[in-house]
Amino acid sequence: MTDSPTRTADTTGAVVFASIVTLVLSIALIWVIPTPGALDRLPDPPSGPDRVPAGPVARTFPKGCAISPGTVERLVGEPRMVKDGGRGVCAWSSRNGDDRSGRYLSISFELSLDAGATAYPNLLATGRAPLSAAMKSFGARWSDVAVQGVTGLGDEAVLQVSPSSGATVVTRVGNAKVVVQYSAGRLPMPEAAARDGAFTAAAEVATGLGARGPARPAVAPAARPAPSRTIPDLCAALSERTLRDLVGDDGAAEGSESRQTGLVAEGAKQRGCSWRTLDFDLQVAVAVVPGAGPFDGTRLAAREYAIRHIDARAEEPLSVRDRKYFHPVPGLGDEAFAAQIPGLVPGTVVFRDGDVLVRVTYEESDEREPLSGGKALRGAYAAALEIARALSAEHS
Amino acid sequence: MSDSGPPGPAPRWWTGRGRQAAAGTIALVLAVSVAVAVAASRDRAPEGISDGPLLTAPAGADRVPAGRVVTKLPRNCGVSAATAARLAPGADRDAEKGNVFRQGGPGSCMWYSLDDGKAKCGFCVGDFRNERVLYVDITLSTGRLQAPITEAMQALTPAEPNRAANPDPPALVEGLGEEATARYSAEIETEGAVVDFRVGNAVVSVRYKGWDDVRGRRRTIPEKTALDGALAAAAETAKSMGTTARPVLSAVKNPVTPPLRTIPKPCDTVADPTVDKVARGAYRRRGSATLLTMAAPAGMSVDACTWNARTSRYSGEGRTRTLTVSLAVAGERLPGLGAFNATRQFLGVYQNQRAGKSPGADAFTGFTPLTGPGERAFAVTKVQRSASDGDVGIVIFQKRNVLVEVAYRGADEDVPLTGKRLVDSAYTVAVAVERSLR
Repeated sequence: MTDSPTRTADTTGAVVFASIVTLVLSIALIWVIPTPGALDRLPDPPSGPDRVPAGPVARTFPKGCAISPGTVERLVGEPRMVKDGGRGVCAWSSRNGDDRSGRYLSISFELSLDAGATAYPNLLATGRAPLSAAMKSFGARWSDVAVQGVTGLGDEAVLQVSPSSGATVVTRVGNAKVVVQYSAGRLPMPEAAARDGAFTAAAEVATGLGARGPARPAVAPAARPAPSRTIPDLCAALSERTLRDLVGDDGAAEGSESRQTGLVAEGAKQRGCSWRTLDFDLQVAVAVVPGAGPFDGTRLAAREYAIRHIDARAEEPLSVRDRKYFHPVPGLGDEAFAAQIPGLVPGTVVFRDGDVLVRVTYEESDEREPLSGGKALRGAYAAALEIARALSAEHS
Repeated sequence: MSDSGPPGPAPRWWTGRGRQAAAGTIALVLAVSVAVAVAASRDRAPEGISDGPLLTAPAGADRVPAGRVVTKLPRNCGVSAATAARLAPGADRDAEKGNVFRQGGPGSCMWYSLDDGKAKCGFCVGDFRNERVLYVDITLSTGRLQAPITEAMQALTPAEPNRAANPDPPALVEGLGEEATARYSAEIETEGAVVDFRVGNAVVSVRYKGWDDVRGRRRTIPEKTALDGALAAAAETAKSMGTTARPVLSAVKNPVTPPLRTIPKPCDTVADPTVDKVARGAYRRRGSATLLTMAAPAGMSVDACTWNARTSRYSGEGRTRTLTVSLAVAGERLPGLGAFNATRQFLGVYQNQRAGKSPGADAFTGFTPLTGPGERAFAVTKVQRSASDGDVGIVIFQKRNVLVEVAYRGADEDVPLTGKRLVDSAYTVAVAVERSLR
């Protein structure tokens, strides 16, 4: 049985009409639905547990400087209060001690509190949060007497002993830096007695401030010097494909190398490379943190990493409508985090590999056309992975 | 004109269900087309950068009193001979002529008593029953860089990094000068009671300390004895300077004005339609205050948001508009203290601008008290320092425990904006910010 001509014409018309509709709809959908770009195809940085301490954070000096009258009595003997702690300093001296038996004990606190957001308009300044600010300000600043590392006391501690000023212990518990000084009135004091007295007072204060774990201060063994690592050519460390994905064909040709990155203080071995096009800005900075005083480079690099981790974690978005990205990243170096906050923190991945600290930032070149947080982080992570591989190859 | 003749039978697909399907398809196509058009129009860069309409900043009368400027110091720091004799028996009647330990002088007085005034030596050695010392120091601020009263305010509460961390902050005193505090300590270095207060540009510090021998040991005088003595002397000093002189310790700051309950982040204080009036298409960054820089050292928390709008990706090219909203929030350690501290900081900045002074290198002009927004407000213009910088129109207002600064500047190509338009733009935004604070 064959169709009539009218029926054939009807069918042809319907097919033509349906084809036109399909074509128009396809064009419309292509127009409306964005094509997945290179950045969409890159993997998101994975998320892991956060192992960097978030406290304790003290807002006021502890009453009585967190030391018991009994301990003061035992260390000083008939103590008379010289300073009552109202301004963060307690001090006692022996009331009737002579030159031989007189003792002096002082405990001073320095709290790093919220500095106020406008104190840091430059988003990459470190020490913005109370904890990281305390870490930055921590450290012995004497040049003429050797400083010894101390274990089992607060988050970190050092000791200095000298015949003239007795024993001085500097420790940090969260955002509180504490300096304990224990000395004789006038005559020099035996080193062991001065050290043990200062340790006793510092342990009680650290516990009173909420330090994690029991306080059992002891002098740490001296750090062993480690062979210095070299930094590979960062501008050659990223593959062409990654550069094409991140900065496009314009920037894939070559990056711009720099020897000063601002990543850590001057004196560290460091290299940087940046790729900047009309649309994107990718920057990589690597520093080998040298050992200093009683601490080796790995320990100090871990401090530098923690400062940046704490800062990024504490940073608040400019608006409640903004989405903040921050999470630790497992499997990248010894420790790593990824962060992005609109208008404040570009797509950033920071990681530490031994004594090497790495920072990768990825963002738009034109602030008027911001890159989404997800894309910025994927881009930074892709570059960070390749930098990590280049570092491993250089180290092996 | 041709006649097509009578209509023939419609194609079958155009009848019945076929027509319904076709109509639905056409509607779908139209809807998709509209969506595409809308999406395409959204992708287009917003035109214009600032088009108003702007509100006119309403100038008002200057209702802030000029404040007292003390130029003459009271004799013997205003303390009567009777009170001095009661607090430091046997001390020299004339504190300004000096006594056993040091020279006195106008505004720096000391009465010293050892063994009820029976010992008259400079550096006495021996056993004594007691010691009493009364110090009164009066410092007059002259106002070299700032208004004298603003300078005195800062001298009364100097910025210290860990001031807020003191677990025992000084107590509030009411009825003594314009603001006053008191504290007591048993420590050697600052033992005794200290009462600090301000009268206009004068900052007065009164300290009373002493000890009694108890079975061979020196016992610092009790807190009540020390505080009562210092407050009694302070009241006489205040009275001699012609100000309130009935001091009492207080647990609240009267009148108790409750703090604001809702204080958004600076970037959330201005809705998009308002931003569009002055900086359309802007991107946000963290900002910094221009005049509220005194607030952070005074213990207020300060945060700021900047909206940058520009027509070119390159600096110094095209049109630019920059709006900055800064909030300084005073904490409420005691009831009423937040609003009091915010008022104090506002008046400090206000008096500086009214006197044409500024602690920094910036120059300002056009100080104008405003009728609003908030409880008190003024406008001023920061003058450009170079041809490339633009003037900045600034409106500052206070609402309870919050100070707000709105700053606005811009340029069209290389011609910076100037004049009233800057202040009106800042005022337009300030009105919106005030509404967001509740």
